[in-house]
Amino acid sequence: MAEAVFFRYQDQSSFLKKVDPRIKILLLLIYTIILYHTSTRGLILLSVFTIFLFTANYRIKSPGEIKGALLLSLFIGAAAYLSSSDLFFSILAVSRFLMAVLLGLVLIGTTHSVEIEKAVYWFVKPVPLISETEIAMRVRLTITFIPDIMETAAQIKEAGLSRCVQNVKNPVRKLKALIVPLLYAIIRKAEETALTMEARCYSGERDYALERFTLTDLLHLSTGLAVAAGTLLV
Amino acid sequence: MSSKILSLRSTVLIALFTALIAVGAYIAVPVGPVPIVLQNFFVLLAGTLLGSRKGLSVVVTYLVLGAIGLPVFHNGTGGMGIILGPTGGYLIGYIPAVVVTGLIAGRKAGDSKNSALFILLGTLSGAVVVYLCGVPWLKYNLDMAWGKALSAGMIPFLIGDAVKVAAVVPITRWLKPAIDSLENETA
Repeated sequence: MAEAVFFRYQDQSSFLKKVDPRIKILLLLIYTIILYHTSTRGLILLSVFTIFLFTANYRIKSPGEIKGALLLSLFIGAAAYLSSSDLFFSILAVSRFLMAVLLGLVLIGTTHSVEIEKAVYWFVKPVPLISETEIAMRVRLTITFIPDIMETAAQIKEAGLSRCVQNVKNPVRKLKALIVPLLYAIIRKAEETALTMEARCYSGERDYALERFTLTDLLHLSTGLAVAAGTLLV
Repeated sequence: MSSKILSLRSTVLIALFTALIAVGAYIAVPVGPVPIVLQNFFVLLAGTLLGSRKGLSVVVTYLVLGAIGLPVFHNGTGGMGIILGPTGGYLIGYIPAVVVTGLIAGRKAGDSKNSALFILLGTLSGAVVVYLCGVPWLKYNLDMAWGKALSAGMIPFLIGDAVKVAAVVPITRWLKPAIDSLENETA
């Protein structure tokens, strides 16, 4: 399944892998806000920067990997054109959607789930009444589970097709044919994972410390912020 | 030891349901002319199967994942821009929706002869709460008239939502015992 490939950390070396995960997340947070509030020229600048980041740091392993996003962008473009009758508006809508997808892919492809966990811990720690350890652990587990669940769902869907589930008229039965086996698989997965973690005496207490910010990190941050400021000012 | 094991199992279940909601954005089931996406279906299911407290944890983790930019929101998007954008109300609406669903359905599911009715009521209320948050947000965000906001942000999805609500009831009744036994199992 194409999506299962694209939601994984990529092995090859890239420039963005050297950037501190906190800086990547902070900049992504800023860019995804700017994306929806910038002018057309700002959007063009941000798009060029995003495409540069994507091509320099993300390797597309199969054409099917981004086929879904491209098809969906065509659909979004068509829907935007039908609702506004404005070609320019629909191009902007497609660009915003594609850039949001590419930025997300760059983050997931260049940041290991453990790094994301540590960064989330660092961001959540000052927030009162929330257990930063719990949230960080859940985030890492979720990132690990997503590709597995996508694969399981794809297998169940294929098995359903071979049993002609698509010909079932009742929509509730059609939905149940996919969901019930998927949820049973999830429950089995939960049991296996919990047993594995128990067997390794997992207690949730671990070292969440990230390295201190260096001068290089500050340089990365200021470059990223300069692009954000430029996007807003042009 | 036992409480730690229970908490670990709950944490794993919460993470798995969060992953399910994220994957729900990519799974489209062809029902009628418009395929339905299963994101809000899994939110409601988290409420009925895990209860309001754990369901809330599921939704909060999901929103944190999306807020930091991972492509877990609808159509593979992510980031704060989506939460603050026109459809952000639906995402924020998942928080009260899962709590309401869990409160009404969670406790009664599986242990009462009226459980199906409670699950149905809980799921229906959860679905309504999502629209109560999403449609006004859409209206004010895009400066639309109420009629246009309703026709763009609610009416096209009602049939799909009816199917989802109807499917949650039997699925919850089948799976609730398995979830309960997983959570109560001791090593």
